[in-house]
Amino acid sequence: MKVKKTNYISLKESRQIIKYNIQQMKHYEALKRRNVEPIEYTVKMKNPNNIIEIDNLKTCFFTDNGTVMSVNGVSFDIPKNSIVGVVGESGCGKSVTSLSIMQLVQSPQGQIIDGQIRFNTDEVSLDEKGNKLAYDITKMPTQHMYNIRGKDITMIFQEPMTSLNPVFTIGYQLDEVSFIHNPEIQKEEAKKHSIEMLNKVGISMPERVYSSYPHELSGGMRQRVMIAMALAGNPKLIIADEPTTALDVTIQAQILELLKDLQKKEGCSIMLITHDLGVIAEMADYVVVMYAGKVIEKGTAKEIFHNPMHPYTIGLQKSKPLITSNSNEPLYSIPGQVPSPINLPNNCYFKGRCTKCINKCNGEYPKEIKVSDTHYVSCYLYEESEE
Amino acid sequence: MANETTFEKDIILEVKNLKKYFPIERSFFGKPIKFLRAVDNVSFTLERGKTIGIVGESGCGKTTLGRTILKLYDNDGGQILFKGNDITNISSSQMRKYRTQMQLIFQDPYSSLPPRMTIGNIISEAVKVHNIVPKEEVLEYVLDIMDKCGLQQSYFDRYPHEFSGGQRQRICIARALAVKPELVICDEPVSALDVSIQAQIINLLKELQIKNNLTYMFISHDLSVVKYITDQIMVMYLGNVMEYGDTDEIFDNPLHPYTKALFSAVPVPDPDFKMNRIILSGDIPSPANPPLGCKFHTRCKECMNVCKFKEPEYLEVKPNHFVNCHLFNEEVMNNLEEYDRQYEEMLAQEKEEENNE
Repeated sequence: MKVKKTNYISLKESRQIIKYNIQQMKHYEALKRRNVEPIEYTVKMKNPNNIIEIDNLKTCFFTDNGTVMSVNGVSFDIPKNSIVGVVGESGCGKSVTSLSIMQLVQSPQGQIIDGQIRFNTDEVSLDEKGNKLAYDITKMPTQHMYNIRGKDITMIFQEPMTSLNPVFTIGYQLDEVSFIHNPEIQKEEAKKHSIEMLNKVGISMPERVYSSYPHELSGGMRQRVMIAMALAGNPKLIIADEPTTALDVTIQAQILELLKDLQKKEGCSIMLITHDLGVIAEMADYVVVMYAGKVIEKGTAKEIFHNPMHPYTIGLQKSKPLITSNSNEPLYSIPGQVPSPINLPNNCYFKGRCTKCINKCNGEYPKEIKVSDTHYVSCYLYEESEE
Repeated sequence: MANETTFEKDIILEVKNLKKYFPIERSFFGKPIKFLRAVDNVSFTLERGKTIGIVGESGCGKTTLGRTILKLYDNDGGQILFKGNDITNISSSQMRKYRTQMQLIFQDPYSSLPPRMTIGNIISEAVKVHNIVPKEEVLEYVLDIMDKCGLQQSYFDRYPHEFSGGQRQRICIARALAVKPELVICDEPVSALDVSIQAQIINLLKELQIKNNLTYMFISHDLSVVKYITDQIMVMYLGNVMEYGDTDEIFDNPLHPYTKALFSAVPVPDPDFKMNRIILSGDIPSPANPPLGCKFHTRCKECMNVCKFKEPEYLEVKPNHFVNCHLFNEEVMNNLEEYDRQYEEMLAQEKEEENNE
């Protein structure tokens, strides 16, 4: 397709796009068969100590304005028993990555078109060579996914106001989790389990909360209920999608403390999605920085915060005023805006906003460069030092 | 109303004991019988060219305070002096001449721009209504304002939906500044924006302040931004001022237990930084049914018996540093035993009443 100056689309082009979209959507929907043998989506783990390995994941949305590559070749691992922070601006694909893990991408417009998400489960063990086997979530049939979603992988959403059902009591919604994943359980047992969960997340009067409706609770309490719901199935991975953005600072501190404690006690992993670098620094062991659907830098929290390499990461850290500093100089600001996600050029997406551009930047999208065992960066500035 | 000292320091805004109560329950004949005290006894003074920051959690009355000062809400007591003139009880037609001097920038740039007007119309509308410049010069004047706010001239004929959040916030700023205001009330101007765009807008606001000698009232819950941009800070909790003073003084030496907890709750982007975090237990009490005595006592770590029934006084502990807490009231601290006895008496009385019933 030609690169155009305006985003105006003629009727002819619009028809072409819609025709193309229907064709693509039919193609990918047809791939989602119902009866798939488990052997077809069983793959080998690279490292048995990871709970999730995301490998070259590509998720796109077929919209009327063209194909939006929301996640464009993302790879990172979530080790067992750790907190991985994913940070980036709005529209950079952090939420779509998490929805892809849960198989919750809005279909048929949204499709995972390439890549693997390897989920390390106990259902399959070692193969004959001693490699740990895992399930590939991208190829898993929906029926099987029901058993994993809400039990092994759970999610805490951003808006505690809208993610609870207003017409059912908290207790009903919590019990539901137990009933779905354990059909034989008795009603009394489910209630006992739910109250235990509410106790775990620090709710002082669990019996009263159990029988109340969501509107009777404050924002912080609702987020605690959401966490209780996420914990109900003894998950291996909790995806927390901006869990504290809608909350006040003092409540945010409570919730973060709670998440940290629970992670240690329960021994699960947390994938923490946020745009607040402060929250990431406080919580995460590993950090993944995303920009326009790509991972531009990843590493341990110490590496990212003390030795940021990519100009975008450096800019992000400099552009936030610190509560600990007293300087009055103008803030560093990254010029320009995030590029439109439709028809991105095949060079570094940050090129237009970068202040350290070199000649090479006009070329293809830079490959991932290894700085240390855990630290990777996608930028031409560091390529020569490697060779 | 103007007195001499007001002019010496060039005080642009003075608020004295401002109150705003919303009726929440009415009697059979429509007379309000129960109130929500959104803003209760707030006083501060603001000099020209300075910035005051209003911080606090949601529901503490920050936005109501800003709107009451602009007289978008009628106040229920107290005084507002704008440039030495009492504007507390003037009519809306009299208020009109002050409207151009006080402007508001809203939080959400997505819903505060009319979708059917072009950028040029949005910015020039108020200029035409208030006759800021002669008719022939309006176009030139608007283009100049747009240029100052970092908007290209080609945007003049475009519609708001064509712009991103950061650009829209620039349009909102341009619209507010087009009528040459002296006081701008910024109601969470950056909280809906991404981090990298936030810095652009904060820098723009600061630059414009120096160029046009503007006075800002900056309402925000983001403490690091407030610390960066303001000269004075007012910490609010359930409609009351908890602490008020110069920014540096308050951040270096917070006195009120709530201020301490609030500052310690801000996450710092450094994994090695260990802060002695004070975790507040519980939630903010409902503003419709606030606790007796000090409003913060239900969550306070240093709560004493006296806090539970006696409202603290608003005292100037150091020059220009006001605190609303019993801990810093010598009269109360010296007579603690006396107050403990009063509290026990009160409890006993309550019990008796219960028994009688």
